[in-house]
Amino acid sequence: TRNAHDETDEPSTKRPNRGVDFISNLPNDCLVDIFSRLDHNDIDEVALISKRLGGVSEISRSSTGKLESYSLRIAHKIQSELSIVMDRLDLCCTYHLTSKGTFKKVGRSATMGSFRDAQEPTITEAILAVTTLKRLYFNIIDLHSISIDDDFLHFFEHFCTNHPNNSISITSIRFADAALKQRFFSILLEAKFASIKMENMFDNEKLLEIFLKDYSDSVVLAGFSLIERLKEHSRSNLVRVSRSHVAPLNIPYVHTDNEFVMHISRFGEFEHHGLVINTDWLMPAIANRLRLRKKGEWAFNITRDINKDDIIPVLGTDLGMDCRDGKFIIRICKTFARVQFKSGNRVSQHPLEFHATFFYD
Amino acid sequence: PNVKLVTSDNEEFVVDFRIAKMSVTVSRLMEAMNMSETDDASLLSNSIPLPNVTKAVMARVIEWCEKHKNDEPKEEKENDKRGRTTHVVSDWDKEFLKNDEFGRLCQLMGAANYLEIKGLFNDISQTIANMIHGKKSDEIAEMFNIHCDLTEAEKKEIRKKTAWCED
Repeated sequence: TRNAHDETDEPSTKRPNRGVDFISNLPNDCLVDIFSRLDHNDIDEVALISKRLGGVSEISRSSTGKLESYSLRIAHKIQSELSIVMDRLDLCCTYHLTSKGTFKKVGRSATMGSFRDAQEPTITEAILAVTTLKRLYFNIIDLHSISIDDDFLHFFEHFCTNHPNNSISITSIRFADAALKQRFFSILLEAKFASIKMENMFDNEKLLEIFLKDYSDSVVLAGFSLIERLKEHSRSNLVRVSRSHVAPLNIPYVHTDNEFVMHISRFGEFEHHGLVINTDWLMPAIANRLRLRKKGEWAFNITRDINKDDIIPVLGTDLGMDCRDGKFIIRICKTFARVQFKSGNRVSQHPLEFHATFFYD
Repeated sequence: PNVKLVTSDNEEFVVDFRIAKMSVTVSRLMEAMNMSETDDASLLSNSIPLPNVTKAVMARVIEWCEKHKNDEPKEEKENDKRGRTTHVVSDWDKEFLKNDEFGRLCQLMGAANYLEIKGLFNDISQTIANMIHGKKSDEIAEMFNIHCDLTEAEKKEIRKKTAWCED
């Protein structure tokens, strides 16, 4: 039972005699609008002012600004335990998520303190900690060394719902079966990450093609980077021979389909050194990408060198062309939007490496 | 053509049709009363009652609208990547709002909300948010004369709930 005279149960501040409390008299929709312009730390403070403001501020929390300047690494430590480590980029501090669902500072990134005194969260605890993670905007999310199972996907789905527009990097993850892999890709697409960097994710070119088409449809000018470190014996299985070109054995994918290349043209950044694009289809895609006017780079392979005759037909009335030191530049007339690109031989090998840089000053 | 607006304290304001149309609420009321820009008789014979706005506040609203009547219609600004609503208050608007004491600013916000004048509403909302941002709860309470009705035990509970990082 509570002691009526217990000082701790008295309101902590007295109503000031001077002045009128105008803000508490504002209607809820005004207060919600004001609070949605704050960040989570501000909302924590508002919650401590009064019951009414605290109640209204909680309604605003879903549209409140996230705290910025963090990166996040999620990895499996041992089975059913996750290691969730956050770096605060501006202060160079490292934090671990504890089993209590809060972050604990373990040191400056440069010196990396120890994390012996706190427990890593289990997957169930990590799911509960999603409310903590919800407060933060991560400049980069890194998924590393994870065995993807139902529980992890449950956590990841919760996590992704609250983190649109982030960039994600995915390395060394394993799937128990194909259905889990499919679900994982669906969650990635649903989350609308601004950019995705993957390593060794696709053992099937069709799956990659479908993923890239869907991703280019769901995020405008997304960034995509795929690094393949294929095992020697698996290479031959992945080669597809295009209509008119024979693919060399060290290149896993060949895509000659015009529709697919137009999907590539919607990417702001694109890097996949295992991909070969038929040069016949390339120029309309470059012109398309240039008209979207955003800085970015592309790197993949093409089937043959580009010449002026490829470029001239796509120029139309809005684009112009220059050629300097073997590099082609296409510009949007009367603007500073341009793309510079070149292709080159890797010693006696085909296809050619292709690199394009889009500028928009 | 002019439109007559009548405040809660029975003051009549005669404003340009374009100014009146800046308020979604007034626009709707004019439509409901069949008042149109091309029909002078309909404008002369009717006045728009605004029972939620006082004369003093209405004068400020009209002053703001006069300044902004030629503005291009602004598209709703998307939230930034962190999910926060962002609105840049122009220098003129900052100066304009500085003239109001906080109580008047809140009344002006209430009026902008009722009249549905989005630009003015956003300006005031952002101004108040900027006053709160980065301050501790007791500083905010003191600044706005807010009476705290939470006990220390309740505050402790809230702090526990919102704790997310141990430094």
